[in-house]
Amino acid sequence: MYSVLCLVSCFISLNGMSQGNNLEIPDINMKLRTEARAARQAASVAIHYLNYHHGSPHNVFQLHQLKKASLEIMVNEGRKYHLKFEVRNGRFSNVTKFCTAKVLFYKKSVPDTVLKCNFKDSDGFKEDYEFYLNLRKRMDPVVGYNIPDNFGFIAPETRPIWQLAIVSASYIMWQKSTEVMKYNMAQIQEVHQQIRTDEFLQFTYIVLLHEIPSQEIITCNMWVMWQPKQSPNVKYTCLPSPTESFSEESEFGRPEGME
Amino acid sequence: MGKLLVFSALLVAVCAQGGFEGDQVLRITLRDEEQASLVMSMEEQDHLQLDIWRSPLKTDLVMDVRVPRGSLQTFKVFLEHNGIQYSTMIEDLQVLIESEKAELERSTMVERTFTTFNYATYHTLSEIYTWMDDLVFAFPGLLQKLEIGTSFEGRALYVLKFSTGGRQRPAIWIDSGIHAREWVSPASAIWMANKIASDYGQEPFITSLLQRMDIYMEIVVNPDGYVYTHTKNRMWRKTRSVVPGGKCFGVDANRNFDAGFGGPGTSSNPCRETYHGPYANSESEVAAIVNFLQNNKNIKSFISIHSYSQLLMFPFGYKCVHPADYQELEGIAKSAVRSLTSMYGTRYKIGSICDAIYQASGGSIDWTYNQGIKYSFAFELRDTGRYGFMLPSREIIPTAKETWEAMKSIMESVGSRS
Repeated sequence: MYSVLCLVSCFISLNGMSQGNNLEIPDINMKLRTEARAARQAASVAIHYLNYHHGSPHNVFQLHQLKKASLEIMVNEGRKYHLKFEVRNGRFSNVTKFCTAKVLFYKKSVPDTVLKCNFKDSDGFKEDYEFYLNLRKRMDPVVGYNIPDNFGFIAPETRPIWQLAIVSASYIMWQKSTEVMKYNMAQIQEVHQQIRTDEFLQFTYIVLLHEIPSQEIITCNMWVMWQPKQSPNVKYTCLPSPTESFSEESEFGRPEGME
Repeated sequence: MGKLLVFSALLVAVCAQGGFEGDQVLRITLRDEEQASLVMSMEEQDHLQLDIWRSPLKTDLVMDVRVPRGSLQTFKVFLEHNGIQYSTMIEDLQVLIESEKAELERSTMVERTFTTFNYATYHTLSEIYTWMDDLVFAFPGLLQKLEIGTSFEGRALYVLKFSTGGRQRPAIWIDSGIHAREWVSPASAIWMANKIASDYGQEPFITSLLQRMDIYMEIVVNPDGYVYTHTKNRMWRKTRSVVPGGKCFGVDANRNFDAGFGGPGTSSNPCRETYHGPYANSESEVAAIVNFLQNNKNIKSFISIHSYSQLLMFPFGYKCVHPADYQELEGIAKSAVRSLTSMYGTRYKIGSICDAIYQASGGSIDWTYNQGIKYSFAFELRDTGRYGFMLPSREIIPTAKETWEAMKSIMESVGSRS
């Protein structure tokens, strides 16, 4: 995949250079402080990617600690963050797992992410399966509003529905993230289950995403199909964010590259 | 009323359950131990499901028994056959439970004194304003409530002043609730205010601090926005001021201060969350603080509380340049965060606003720093995005406790340099 990209961009840059610019601009690779905002931003993208691919109603990962970060600036290809970090599954777990990731930001594309973690199967499959069976047995579809509620409360039986939303919304948040724009899922405004006869569970969600640094709340409609041991199948449309304009980057400062 | 009190403790336990329709509670007045053992033998018969609420004592041969509806006939016949006296205390337990529940709910909504104030939940503005008065009433020698201005919609803006005397002693300012949806911010400040008031005279650090310095706390900087998050839109951030002829409401109060006003990290669009307003200090909520500080030149530290992200920051936000006092502020912040983390292990990052979170102009602590209030800090409390603004109420007190550790650390650093 990368060799193809290089082939294409190398051609382009070669063409550009033939206009008389004989300077070879080398790619830059520099170590970043792990506290650096840009490094943490890239890590959040990797976490969204991790949750989308390996998350489930009983597996939601959080960044425990960023151990190492470096930035590779590749002319005409973008800015690639190399990360080493520890994650936790759920809030109270003491067990941390290690991951490495490469996150490439290039203009408006989806951050190209390569992720490797030192665990194969996530825990919580048994609970996922129980949840799945319980819902399959139900005659009446699940319906919910304002999860968590204004006081941050989530009923225990609703938690897997909420976590499935986080995992599914991670797909949206991963896609929308840039070096500057960061996302968290703020709340499920509505969830409706559609009963299916095949092996999938299906839900339509309206979720609110919190966008930083614009501080805007983005409303997204999300259609999710899921069964145990699989990433959710997510389709979405988001109402246009007020910040979707070419001037977005300048309004919120340059992405951090140098110390 | 007395009867209700006696049973209310028991009812709290059974409140969680339903299904007591038609059950009765009988008070049995036993003549002697023989009668007592007769009744106890009935209790042993599982199918009757008798539930003894009050066992007889040698000195007090009274028994209270809950009798399920289905066993009433049998049990009453047994008592009468054996000449055992009884009376009906509760005719229908379920009816009483329902009315008691309603009574409890009603009484929690009317919190009359600060001793019954529930610090582990989020409160409405009127509950907070009532609590403020109750706190001042409970600690008259220490506390005063000052009105520093009026919000756009006409609500009073209050500051709690903790002072043991003197005239404009060196002081520390703490504010919360500038952004309406950040509920854990005023919730933590409320806990801390109560902590300060309660600890004065009991705890050496705060007692000695208050003998030299004053503390000012503005619990709800943006009451209009706060009310709006309770009534209309939980995600509201800004004030509720009206732009003449405009279709959108409100200004981001923390972009409205006169520090790089209108610069990066703000919007000139009134419909955006970071709208800076028509001009600096256009918001009465902001002007009130500015005005207060201009009339009190002895404030040594200005600390603003926000959520979420788990950060402790210092200037600058409007420019990505380190302030002259960077080293010192960084040192104080590091120390404060160490104390915070030691409480529950919660991890915080520190840095200038621009380094830690993003470039943002017109922020309060940048303005105060430029006014000479060197020890200007901003907190972003729990969490890091999982619940975000909707932080569960069970986390309020832990958040407040750990933040208080950081706060004390900052106060100690400021105190020793003032």
